[in-house]
Amino acid sequence: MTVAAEAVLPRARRWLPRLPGAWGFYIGGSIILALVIVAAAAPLIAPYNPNAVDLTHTLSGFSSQHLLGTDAAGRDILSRLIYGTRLSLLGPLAVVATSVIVGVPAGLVAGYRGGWVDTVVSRIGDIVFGFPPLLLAIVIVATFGAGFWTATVAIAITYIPLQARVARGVVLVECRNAYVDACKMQGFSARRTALGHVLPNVAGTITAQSTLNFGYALLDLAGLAFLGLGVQPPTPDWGEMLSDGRQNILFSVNEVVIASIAIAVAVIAFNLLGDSLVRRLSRTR
Amino acid sequence: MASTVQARRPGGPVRQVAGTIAARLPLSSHPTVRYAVSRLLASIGLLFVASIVIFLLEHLAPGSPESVLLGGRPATPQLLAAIRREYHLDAPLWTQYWDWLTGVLHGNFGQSITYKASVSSVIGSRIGATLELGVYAALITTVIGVTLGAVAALRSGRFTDTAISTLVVVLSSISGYVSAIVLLVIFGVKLGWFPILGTGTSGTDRLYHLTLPAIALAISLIALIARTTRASVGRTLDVEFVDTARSRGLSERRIFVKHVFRNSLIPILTVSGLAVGYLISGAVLVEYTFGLNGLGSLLVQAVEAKDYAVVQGVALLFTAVFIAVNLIIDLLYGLVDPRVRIGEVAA
Repeated sequence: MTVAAEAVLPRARRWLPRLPGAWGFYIGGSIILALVIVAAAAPLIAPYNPNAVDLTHTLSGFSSQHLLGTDAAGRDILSRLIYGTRLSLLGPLAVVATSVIVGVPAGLVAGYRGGWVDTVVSRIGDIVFGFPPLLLAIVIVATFGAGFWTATVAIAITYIPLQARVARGVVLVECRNAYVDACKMQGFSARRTALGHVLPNVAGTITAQSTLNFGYALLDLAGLAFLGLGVQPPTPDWGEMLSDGRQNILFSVNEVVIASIAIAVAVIAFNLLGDSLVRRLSRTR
Repeated sequence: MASTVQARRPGGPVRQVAGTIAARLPLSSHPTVRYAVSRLLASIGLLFVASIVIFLLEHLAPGSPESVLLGGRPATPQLLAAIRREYHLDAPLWTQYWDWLTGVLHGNFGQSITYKASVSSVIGSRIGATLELGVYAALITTVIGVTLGAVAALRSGRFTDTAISTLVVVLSSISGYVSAIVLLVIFGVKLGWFPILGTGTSGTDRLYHLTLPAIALAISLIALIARTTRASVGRTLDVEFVDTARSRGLSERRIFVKHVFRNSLIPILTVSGLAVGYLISGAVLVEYTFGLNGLGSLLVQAVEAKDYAVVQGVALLFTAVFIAVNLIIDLLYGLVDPRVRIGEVAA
C-alpha cells in the first residue's frame, strides 16, 4: 500500500521523511553525522594529545582544564574519547563493509539460483550460527592473538552469514514478483535479472539491516576490547577505555561511565536510524 | 522487523538431511518420533562440525602447535618432545582430532597449562557460578520480559504501550556489559548496596553477590523477549477465535490465559533459543566485569594466557549447551503446537 503511495512522490521526499513519524531518522542520523565529524576532525577538536601522560593529575574529576577529567595515567579523558571515535567507528565500518561485500553476493546467488549453491551457502551459515554469538569471535582471537584487526576480522566472520541469510531471504521473497518472471521471459540472463532488477529492489532492506548491524558490531567490538581482546592499550578506543576504567573503578568511575555513555549513544543512534530505515525501505514488511 | 532482523539459530537445511535419515529409521512411522529423531541427528551433526572448527583453529594459530602448547614455558628439547608425544603431533591431523574427540567424549579435555590441572577439573570448579548466574538471569528475563510484552500488547496504542516500547528500544541498545558497568557504578560503587567483586560464599550471600550481575545480564534480553512477546500476543489478539471467545462471554483474563497466551508461545520459544546464545556471550562479559569465578572469566583468562586446551574445552561446552538448548526448544514446539510434529508447518 505504501509502495504505491511512495511511487508518485518525488524521490527526495521518499528519502527524507517528515519529522513527526520519523524522528528516529533525524535524531539517529544527526548523532551519527556528528560522530563522523568528530572522528574526522579529532586532531582539531581534542584539547590534548590522547596519549600524553601526566602523573601529577591522575584520576582528576571534571575541571576547566580537563573537561571530563583524567584517567589513571593522567591522560585527558575527553581527548581519548574524541580520538577513540575513530577506531570505534572504523571497526564496525570494516565489519559491515566486509559482510556486505561477501555476504550479499553469496545470499543473492543462493536465493536466486537455489540448488547446490543455496545448500552450500546455507550450510556454512549454519556452522557459524551453531556457535553462541561472540564465542566464535573469542576463539578466533584466541588463535590469532588480540588486536584491532584480528577482532574486526573475527567479528566480520560472524556477520557475513547473517548478512547472507538476510539477502537470501529477501531475494527469495522478491523473486515471487511477476517482474522477475517477465525478465526471464524476455530472455534476460540470470546475471542481468539478478543484478539489474532484483538487487536494486532488495537494496533497501539490505541497507536497513546493515545500519542495524553497524550498531551491533560496534557493541561486539567494544566488548572484545573491554575483555582485552580487541584494541590494545594505549591506543584510544571506547572499549579500551571501558577496560582501563574498570581497573580503577574503586577510585574513579568517570572513565567507565563516559565510555559507556559514548557506546550506548552511538548504538542507540544506529538502532534509531536502522529501525526507521527498516520501516521506510523494507518491501517485505 | 521480524522478516529482516534474523534470528541466529542452529538448524536450517541440516534439518532436511537429518529428516531423510530419520525417515528410514525404525519407529519412524510415528510423526512425533520422526520429528524428534531428525532434530536430534541434526543437532549432533552440527555439534560435530563445531568441534572440528574448534579443534582446527588451534592448528591455524601462527607458529607451530608445539609453541602454542608451550604457552610461555621455556622450550627445552625434552619438553618439546614430551608435548609432541602427549598430543600425537606426529600423527596425521584427523588422527589427532579423533584422539581429542574420544578424549572429550570420555570427559578428558586435556591438561591446562596455567592451572597445572586437568581442564575438566578446572571447568568443574568454575561451572557452578556460571550456571547459577545463567538460571538467575533467565528467570528475571522470562518473568519481566514476558510480562512487559504482554501488557504492552493488551494496552496496544495507549500510554502504557508507548512507555514500554520506548523502554524496550533503550534497553535493547544497552549491551550486557554496558548495563553491568552502569549497575556496578550506581549500586556497587556509589550506593554500596551490592558487592562489586566476587561470587560470595554460598546460599543467600551467593544470591546477593549474583543479583547485580544477573540483572545486568537480563537487561538487554528483557528487551528481546518483551519485543517478541508484544508482537506475538498482538498478532494472536487479532485472530478471530478471540472475538468468538469474547462473544461467548468469557472473561478477558480467561481469554488471555487459556487462548491468547498459549497461541503466542511459538515465537517466544524461538527467540528464547537465541536468548540463550546471548546469555552465554553476555555471561562472558558480565562475569569479567564483576570478577565472578565462572566459565566466562575462565575463557577470557585462558585466551590471554594462550591456554588453548581450556579455550577449546570451554568453547566446546558453551557451544554444546547452546545447541542442546535449541534442540530442546525445537522439541518443545511439538508440544506447544501439534502441527509442527506432524510436519504441517515449519517450526
